[in-house]
Amino acid sequence: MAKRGIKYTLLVLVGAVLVYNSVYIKSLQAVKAANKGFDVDGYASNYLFKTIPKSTAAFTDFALLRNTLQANPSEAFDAYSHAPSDGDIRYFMVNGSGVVVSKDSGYVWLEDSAKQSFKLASQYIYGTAARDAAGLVSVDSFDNTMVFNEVSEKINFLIKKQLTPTLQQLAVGDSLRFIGAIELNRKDPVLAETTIIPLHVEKSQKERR
Amino acid sequence: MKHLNIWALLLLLCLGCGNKNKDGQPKQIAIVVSTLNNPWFVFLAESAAEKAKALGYTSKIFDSQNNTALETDHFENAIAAGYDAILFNPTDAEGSVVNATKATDADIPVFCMDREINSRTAATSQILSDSYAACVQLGKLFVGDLDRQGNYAEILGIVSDNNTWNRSKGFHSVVDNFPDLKMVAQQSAEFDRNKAMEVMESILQAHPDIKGVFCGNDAMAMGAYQATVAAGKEDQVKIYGFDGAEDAVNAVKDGKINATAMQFPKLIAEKAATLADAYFKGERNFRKKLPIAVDVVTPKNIDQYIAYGKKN
Repeated sequence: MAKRGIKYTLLVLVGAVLVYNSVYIKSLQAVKAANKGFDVDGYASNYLFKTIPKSTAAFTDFALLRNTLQANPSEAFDAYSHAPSDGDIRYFMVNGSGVVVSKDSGYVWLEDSAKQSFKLASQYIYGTAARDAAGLVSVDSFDNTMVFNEVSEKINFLIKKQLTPTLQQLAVGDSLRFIGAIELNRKDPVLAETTIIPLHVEKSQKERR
Repeated sequence: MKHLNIWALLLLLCLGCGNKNKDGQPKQIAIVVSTLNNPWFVFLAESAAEKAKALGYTSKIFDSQNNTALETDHFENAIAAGYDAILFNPTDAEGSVVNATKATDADIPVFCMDREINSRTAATSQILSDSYAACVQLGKLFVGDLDRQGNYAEILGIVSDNNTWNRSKGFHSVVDNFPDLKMVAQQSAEFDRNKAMEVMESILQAHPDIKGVFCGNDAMAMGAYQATVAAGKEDQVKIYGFDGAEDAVNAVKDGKINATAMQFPKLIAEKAATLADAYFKGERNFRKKLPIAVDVVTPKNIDQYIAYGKKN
């Protein structure tokens, strides 16, 4: 009788251990909830309107970048670019100024004091340059890359909504100071063909040239 | 007394589940892959196994057949068998979190490959293609190729996989800026070639005027291509894929599809195995998410690429 009791006790014990190690229950809702708490709108707004204007150390003077790219492209990429991955596409956060020389439906063309022309996007704002150029937003801070990419889309949305109207109202001859993000391919870095995504624009005194 | 010893032995065996290999034995790496029904994932798994072997470890490949329950079984077995690390290509961004957590809780490091799980803590590190950024580039190409106007369709991958949405959203972040480009159909074919062919056949019947189709992977792009050939519309419909699979790279070369995006599965797999090696040697400080750049491959630069990677 005692033997049978021990046998059944051990059977129950073994069964309990097997069940404990075989079944893992975690609510899918709980997993999903972990991602839904992130305030994408607030994060993007804070980044664009508070963090960026204060992060002057992360900017590269546009003329300096041009000169460095001409003299030593590799050094320019190593010193001034950022990207979440290690591919050929890299991003630069630049600041500069220029005078509007022409406009079309998608871009404002400017010329700087060295008579070099470049363009700012005034209509189509896409890609991850605005998020990645300063190297201030890390994918490691996000539970998943979808949220990381939502941040990029929200930053672009805010730029389009709040900054591009200023660019669209500019007239030829207007002067502009800007902070902007650009994307360049390490294999073929053609600065003249790249588009600057504006992150901060400031119209200065009009001076016809 | 004899029976008591047997039961005690069984109990000890159960409690001992998850123990690592004894010192001196080659470490074992489990390679758990979402499906081996797609050559891209076969290449990913075999590349991981080759690298593990080169590093001095034994490995075994487990096929989850896109089934999270089967994936759970594989994790249970890997933990019980005492595998020392798991290189993991998940089936489901949410549903696979539990499996990775289970291994991590058993002190078995988990390194995700290509597909993401929605957690920063469940896996030791996640090596992921930057699908979104690549599809921004594909979107730009698409807009230019279609001259900013016309009807088009999109064939999505598995809806519970983050790659599906990162690719779709990257593409739409560009294309949706152009109102004369109208998406007339968007359907999932679950990353499957045959399903994509069926989906494309029905899309072409309902919308015979489409000028382009964006597909979430190369298998679906090739399925879509077969459907356009069957409908006699292969010259009308521009096709875009994603992966860099062998048949898609050849199809870009032959002008059958317009572009794909090269994901570099060998690089991803080798990185995962190398991180596992570093873990075995004591490293514990890993980046939680490690994006890998993806190249857009078109007829213009096809000479630089081979299946699954760049030419040396």
